[in-house]
Amino acid sequence: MTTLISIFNSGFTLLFGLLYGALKWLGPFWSLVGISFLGGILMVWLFGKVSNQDAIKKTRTRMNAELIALRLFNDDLRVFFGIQYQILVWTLKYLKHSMIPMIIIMMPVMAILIQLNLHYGVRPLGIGEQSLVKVKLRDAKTLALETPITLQASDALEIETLGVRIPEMREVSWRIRGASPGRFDLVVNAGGESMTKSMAVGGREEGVSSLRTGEHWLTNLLYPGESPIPNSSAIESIEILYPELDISIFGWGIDWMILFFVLSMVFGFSFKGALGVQI
Amino acid sequence: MRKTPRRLFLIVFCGILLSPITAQAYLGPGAGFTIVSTFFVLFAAFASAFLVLLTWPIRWAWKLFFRPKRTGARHAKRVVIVGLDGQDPELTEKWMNEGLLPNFSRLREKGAFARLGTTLPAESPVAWSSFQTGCNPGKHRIYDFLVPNRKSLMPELSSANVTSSARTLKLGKYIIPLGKPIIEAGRKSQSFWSILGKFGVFSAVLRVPITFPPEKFNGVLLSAMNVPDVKGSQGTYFYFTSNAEDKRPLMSGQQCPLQITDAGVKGELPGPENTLLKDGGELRIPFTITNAKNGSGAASLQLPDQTLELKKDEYTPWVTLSYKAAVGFTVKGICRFLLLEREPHTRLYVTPIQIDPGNPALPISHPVSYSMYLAKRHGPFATLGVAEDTSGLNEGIIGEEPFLQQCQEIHQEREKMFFDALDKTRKGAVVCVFDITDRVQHMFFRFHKDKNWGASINDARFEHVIRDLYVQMDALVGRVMRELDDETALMVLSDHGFKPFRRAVELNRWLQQNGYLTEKTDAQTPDLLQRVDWSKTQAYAVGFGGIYINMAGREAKGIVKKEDVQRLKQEICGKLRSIRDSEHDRSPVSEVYDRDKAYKGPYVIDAPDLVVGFAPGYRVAWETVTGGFGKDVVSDNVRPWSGDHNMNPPQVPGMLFCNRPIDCASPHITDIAPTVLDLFGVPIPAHMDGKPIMTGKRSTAQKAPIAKPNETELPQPI
Repeated sequence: MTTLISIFNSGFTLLFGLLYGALKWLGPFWSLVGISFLGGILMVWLFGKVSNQDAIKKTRTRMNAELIALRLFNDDLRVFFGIQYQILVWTLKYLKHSMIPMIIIMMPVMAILIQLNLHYGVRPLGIGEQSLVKVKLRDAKTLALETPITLQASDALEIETLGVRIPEMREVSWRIRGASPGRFDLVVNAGGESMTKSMAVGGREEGVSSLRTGEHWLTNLLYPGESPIPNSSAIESIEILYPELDISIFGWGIDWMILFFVLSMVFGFSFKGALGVQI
Repeated sequence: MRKTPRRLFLIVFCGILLSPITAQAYLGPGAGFTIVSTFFVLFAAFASAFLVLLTWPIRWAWKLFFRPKRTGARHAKRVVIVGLDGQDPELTEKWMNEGLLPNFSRLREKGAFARLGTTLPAESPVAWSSFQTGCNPGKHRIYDFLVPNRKSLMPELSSANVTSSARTLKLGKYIIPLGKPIIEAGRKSQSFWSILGKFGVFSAVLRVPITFPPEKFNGVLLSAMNVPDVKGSQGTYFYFTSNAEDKRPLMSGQQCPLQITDAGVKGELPGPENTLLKDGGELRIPFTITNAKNGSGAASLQLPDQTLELKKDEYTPWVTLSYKAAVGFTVKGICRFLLLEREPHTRLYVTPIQIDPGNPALPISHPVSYSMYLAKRHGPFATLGVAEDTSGLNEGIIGEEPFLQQCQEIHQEREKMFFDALDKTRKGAVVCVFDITDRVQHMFFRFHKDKNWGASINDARFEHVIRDLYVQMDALVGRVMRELDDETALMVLSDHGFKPFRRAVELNRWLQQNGYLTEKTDAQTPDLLQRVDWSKTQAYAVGFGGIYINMAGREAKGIVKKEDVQRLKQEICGKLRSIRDSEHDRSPVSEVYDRDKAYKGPYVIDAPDLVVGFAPGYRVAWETVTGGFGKDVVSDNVRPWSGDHNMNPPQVPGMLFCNRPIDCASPHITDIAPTVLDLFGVPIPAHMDGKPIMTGKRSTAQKAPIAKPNETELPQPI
């Protein structure tokens, strides 16, 4: 399963990377608009393909009819509440017809969201900006004081503190500060083994991988930016707490997920007629 | 989608849900819409329920204190009126006696059955107007389908006039209307449902003739007779053919060419005039017909936005057409296609393009959303005033079977709407008129063995079409009866009866031969009263039996002095009564009515001066109806339109069945409106000519006597 996920991750990350690469010159906001546009249309098209369009159309039409009926026949309470009941029945039928396509579409949408999180979740550490590096170990015993756990980095990064060990969380943390721009690897030594984690300081306002995690198909799926840490390693994960990527329009900051949610809906709705899809 | 992938996805989905790692997820725009729209639907439903509950006491109090008070006791919680246009009481009685109509018989036994006096003339627009207003035509101003415009001296529709908005904005080549089209109602006076509404009684009114434009009242209404098609006509069907030698003299249809191409044939579907463009011309939708690729032998019809399969002699479902007048301006219509022939020539019939009820170009219901509701609830449906295309059959474009199929499918649409209205109106009035009885009798009386005239065509396939139709209506009545409780008063009625139409009487030719009318000799001059030499004409005929005096000061080119009118009318009356049909040795005219004696009310001045009551078997000729001239005064009617009711009213009465006894021997169609008002305890306006006939004065054991035709006298009700 993990192998399959790795293959999928490699392929999809490459594809998405190409798309992102083609759009990133627009900046975070406009490139996300472009991706939302493509994503919205793709998902609506897919919804049309995997759903029973006739049934959805019929159900929606009937729901609309009952909604109009509410206004037409509100003189008689019994009739009125009968219509309310019909609305409930047809809404449930609508949900029933939409459930399978929703489940199916969840898969590609999750893959897209994971990629979006990679590219729009966080940004490289700025010059002079502080952050934390957290290393989680599989076994709390490794945190024993006699066991050396070190962090090594290039000159682009200043490691400001010694590693702080938190046995309850099986975690060691370092405070770091960006010194000069660059892309390099951090090296963590623990329990006699070394593990690397990519690190970015300065440069373009673009997303980077914040977490390298162990071999679990779901975590691998969720964090595709780097290859998984083998399960045999004493280190479970290495995380850098990058600052969030600031996406703003007219000075108004907005979460990338909300933006993608709204924009993909708007684009999908706008093009559903052209695609001949009933939603 | 096959089951296996679905299961696979379900398993994966469940696996994700069960995984002990939290993750934010968004389901994508398609599913997002589902969630959002579901939320809005439920929100709207619950919000409206909350509002209705919240405002219920206020509305109740408002009604209690500010609405006009009912003066009498309420005798029914609900009144249901089923109109069966043109169902003949004589035929109904005959088949009841033969045991073919058990539900009608049950009504007769339980309640009442009577001949229902009809109007002068005995035709739907007049009779249904009297039905809804309780007045004679002198008060509602509907005298015929067509009446002459006394100024332009052209025939025009009596019941509605649609004109574009007078205010427009010209922007280059565009002419933007700054208002809605103006729809002028021809019918005057008040409908009983409008009066009921003022007293808080809800009504659902479906397809009652002469309800266009729809009036505002407390209830819902779907208009019928006189609702135009998208071209603005009363029903223009289309006949397409690829055979250049096939030329048909169509009166109500439009023949259009099909051009042969390498792939098949192509044509253009005519639509409304483009009034948004200067010299915009007629809007058209191109289409092609090719052989279907699936090898079924069917044809494929390609419209700009859809492709349909055409099978010979099979109607397509309703097809929505979009005529694009300008950016953002689209006129929607619906029609059905019928492939008549594919080889050697392609021939295609298209029904009149009707106003799309789901997206109406003109208001065809009250409120406007009611037609939308019906379209969404039951699917698209015929909206044209006279939706069953009698002209297509009359002019030989479609055959009997396709016509019957068309009628039946339209009837099924109406039944669905009616039973829905019945379901949603537990208190109040439900009125629905079914037209199939009228349309089928018009076209199939030639196969029916009439007791006086026999059948004009012996064809076993269609001999019992009318009888079977009455049996079908009996079943409908049975289903209605099952829906009713004891507090519901049911009336099943027709506006007039039916008789064979074998001989046509050409009134304008008769007037011309008797020296009252001079015809222009220029053969190029069209009909529609244009061949009348007004300077030498004393009287002329238009419509189904109306004769008008060319009166000075009234008609634009009138020559008859006011003081001479009465003498002239008496003279014409006398001569008309003496017409003989030498071929059959019968008198075609039973009676001639003087408007001053037949009508009473403020609009008598608009009535025809004389109305001819033809004997059964005779009717005015087609040419006269539109103000034209035929060759002979009396001739055979050879058209499929072989049954009619535009005859002497006492000889073509309607019928009335009730589930309660009535206390009147000779009820009249004008009695229905006051009867309904009385049943709800609503005061009857003084201007109504009719009287309540279900007052309960008589014992329920008594049965209303069946009025014989000769008991229903004219003029009524004065």
